[in-house]
Amino acid sequence: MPSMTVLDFEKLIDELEGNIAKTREIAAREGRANEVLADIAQLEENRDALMREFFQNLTRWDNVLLARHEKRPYALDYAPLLFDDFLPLAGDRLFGDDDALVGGLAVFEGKPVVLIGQQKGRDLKERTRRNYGYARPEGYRKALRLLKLAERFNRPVITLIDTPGADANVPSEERGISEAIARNLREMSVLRTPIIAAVIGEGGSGGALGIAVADRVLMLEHSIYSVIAPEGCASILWRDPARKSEAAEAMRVTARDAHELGVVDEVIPEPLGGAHRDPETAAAALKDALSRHLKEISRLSRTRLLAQRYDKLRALGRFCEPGVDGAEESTGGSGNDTKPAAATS
Amino acid sequence: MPDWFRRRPSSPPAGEDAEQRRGRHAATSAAVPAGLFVKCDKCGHLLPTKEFERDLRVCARCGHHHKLTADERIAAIADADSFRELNAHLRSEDALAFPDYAAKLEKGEQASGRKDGLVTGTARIGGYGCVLGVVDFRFMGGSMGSVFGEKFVRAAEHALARKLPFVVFCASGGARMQEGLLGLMQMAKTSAAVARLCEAGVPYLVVLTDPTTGGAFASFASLGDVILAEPGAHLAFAGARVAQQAAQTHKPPANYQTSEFQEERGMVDRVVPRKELPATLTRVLAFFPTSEPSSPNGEAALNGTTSAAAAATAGARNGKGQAN
Repeated sequence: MPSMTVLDFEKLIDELEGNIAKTREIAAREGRANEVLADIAQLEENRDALMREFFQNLTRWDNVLLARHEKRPYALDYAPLLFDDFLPLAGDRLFGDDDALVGGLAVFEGKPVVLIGQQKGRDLKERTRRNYGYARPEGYRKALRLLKLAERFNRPVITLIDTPGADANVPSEERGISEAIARNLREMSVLRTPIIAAVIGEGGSGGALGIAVADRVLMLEHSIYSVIAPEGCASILWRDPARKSEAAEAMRVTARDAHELGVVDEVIPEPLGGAHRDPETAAAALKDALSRHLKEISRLSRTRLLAQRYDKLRALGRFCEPGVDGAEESTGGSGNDTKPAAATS
Repeated sequence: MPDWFRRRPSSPPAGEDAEQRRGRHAATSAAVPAGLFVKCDKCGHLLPTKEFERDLRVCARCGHHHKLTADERIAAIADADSFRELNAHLRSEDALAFPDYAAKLEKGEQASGRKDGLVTGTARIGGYGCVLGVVDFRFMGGSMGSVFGEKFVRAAEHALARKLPFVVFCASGGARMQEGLLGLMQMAKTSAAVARLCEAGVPYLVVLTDPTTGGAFASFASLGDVILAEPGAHLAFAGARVAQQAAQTHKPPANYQTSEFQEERGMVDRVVPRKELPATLTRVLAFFPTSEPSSPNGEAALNGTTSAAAAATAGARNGKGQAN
C-alpha cells in the first residue's frame, strides 16, 4: 500500500475496530462473550501489527497529516493533563486579545509556572474564533507580557507550539506582526528564567518560532517543524502546491529531522497510531520529558542558563569554513565549539 | 534600433522560480551598464546612464529607488575606501541535499561575486567607525541561510567587542527554504545577537531597503534601535500570494506593505531618500556615546586584534564577556 496516506490507513483501522466492536456486541447479546475472547484478542493483535508496520514506514507527508490531524490533542487538551492548575489570562494591554495564542498561570508538579500555547479550534465555530491557530500580533505581545511576568517573579515558562503560521492578514500587517515576532525572538533569547518549548502539532515557521526560543526544545514524535508550509514551498519553488509531499521530503519537516539538525533536544514518542489515539499516554510522556528537562535547567545559575541558551542559538546552522591555516574545510555550527576552524588557531 | 532602446524580455525564462526571478531582476534591470540610457523599472522613463549612476540609481523622474549591489551600496554609504570585509570566506553547505540548492548557490555566487548575500565588514560613515552589513539581493534573494546567520552574528560580536555601532542594510526575502529548519533558525540566531548588543548598550541601526519580507522582517530587520527605510521599498511579513488572499477579506490601503505604510503604522522611524542616507546616518551615529569620529589609530580600533578585543570576543562567545 505504498500510495495510501496515513488518513486512508486510519479508515481501514477504524473499519477493523468497528468489526471488533460488532463481534463483541453480537457475542455478548448471544451470551457467548467468553467464546470469542480469543478471536477478539487475535483481531486486536492483527490490528496492532498492521499499525506498527504502517507507522514504521511513515512518509514525511504522513507526519504532516498527523501533525494537522483534526483529532490531534491541542494545547488546551494537554493543559489539564500536564498541569495541576491552569488559569488563563488575557490581553496584550496594547490593543486586544488573541484566542489563537493562550497563556496564563499554571502549576507544574506543584510549582508555579507560566504556560503559553497556540490553540487551533476543534469545530468550525471555535476555529473561526481562534483564527485556525494563526496567531496575531496581540497574541505574541500577550505572550511577551506573560514571559516578562515569569521573569520578574522567577517562574519557569513552558510553551506548547501548534500553529500553521502567524496571521498574515491586513490588520496583522498593520499592527506589526513582524515586529511582534521579532521582539519575542530577541527578548526570549535573554529572558532571565528557564524556558522549555514543546512542539505538539504544527511548528509553522516564524509563527511557531515566535514563542519557541528556549533552553530546551522538545517535539512530539509526529509533530512537524518547518521553515514554510510544504504547500507554500512547493508553490514557490515549483509553482505547484500539489507537490507538497515532495516539499515535505526536501525540507525534512519531521521531529526526527529536527533532532538530527540539532534544532530539537528530544523527540518524545507518541502512542501507536499517534497522540490522538491515546492523549493520556502522549501527555504522560510529554510531562515526563518536561519534568526532566525543567529539573536540569532549573539547577543552573541564571548566568549559566543564559550563556548556554546563547551558545545553543549561536550554534544553529551548518556551513563550510575553509581552514584558516591551510587546513581542510571544516563544518561549523553543529557542535559546542561555535567557531570551528578559527577557534583552534 | 539602437541596442539600448531594446526592451528587456518581459516574461521570465521557463523553469525559473520566484527567487531566481527576483535575482535576475536585480542583476539585469536598471543595472545594464553598456547603454547610454537606462529605463526606469517603475515609470519607464529613459534616464541617461551617467546621471542615473550619479543619482545612486534613483529615477530622476519618479524617484523609484532601484536595487543596489553590495558593492554599490557600500560605495553609496561608507566613507571612501573605508570598508574592510570580514568573513567573506564562509560558504553554504547543502546540509539537506535539497533539490537544486547547489546549482542555485553557484548561480548566486556568479551573479554577486560573493559566497553569500550578506556582506559584512568594518567601515566609516561620516567619519564614525562602525560594523556594516549589506545584503546583495542577487544572491538567492538575500535569503537567510546558515552563512547569512553566522556572518551576521560574527559581525555583531565584532561590534560588541569593540563597542562599535552595527549598521545593517537589509534586503531579503526571508528564511532560506533550501536549508529547511536551519534557515528558519537564523531568525532566532540573528535576534539573539541583537539582544546582546541591546544589553551591552551597543547601537544597532537598520536601514530597510527593497524588498525586506518574511523571516528577515520578522527578526533582525525589525529590531533596530533606529529603523530607517528607503522610499517605496516593499516591506512585508506576508508574501505576495498570501497578501493577495488576505486582500480578499480586508481591503488593504493603497500604499500597503511599502516603507510609507510601515512608517504610518509606526514600524519605521523615518523614510529617507538614498541620497540623504549618509548624512542622516551620520546624525544618528553622532547621538550614541559609543560613537567616535575617526581618530589617528582608526583602523586598529575597527579591526585590530588587540588582546583586549580578542579577549572580549572570546568572552562574548562564552557568554560572559559583556560589559555591564
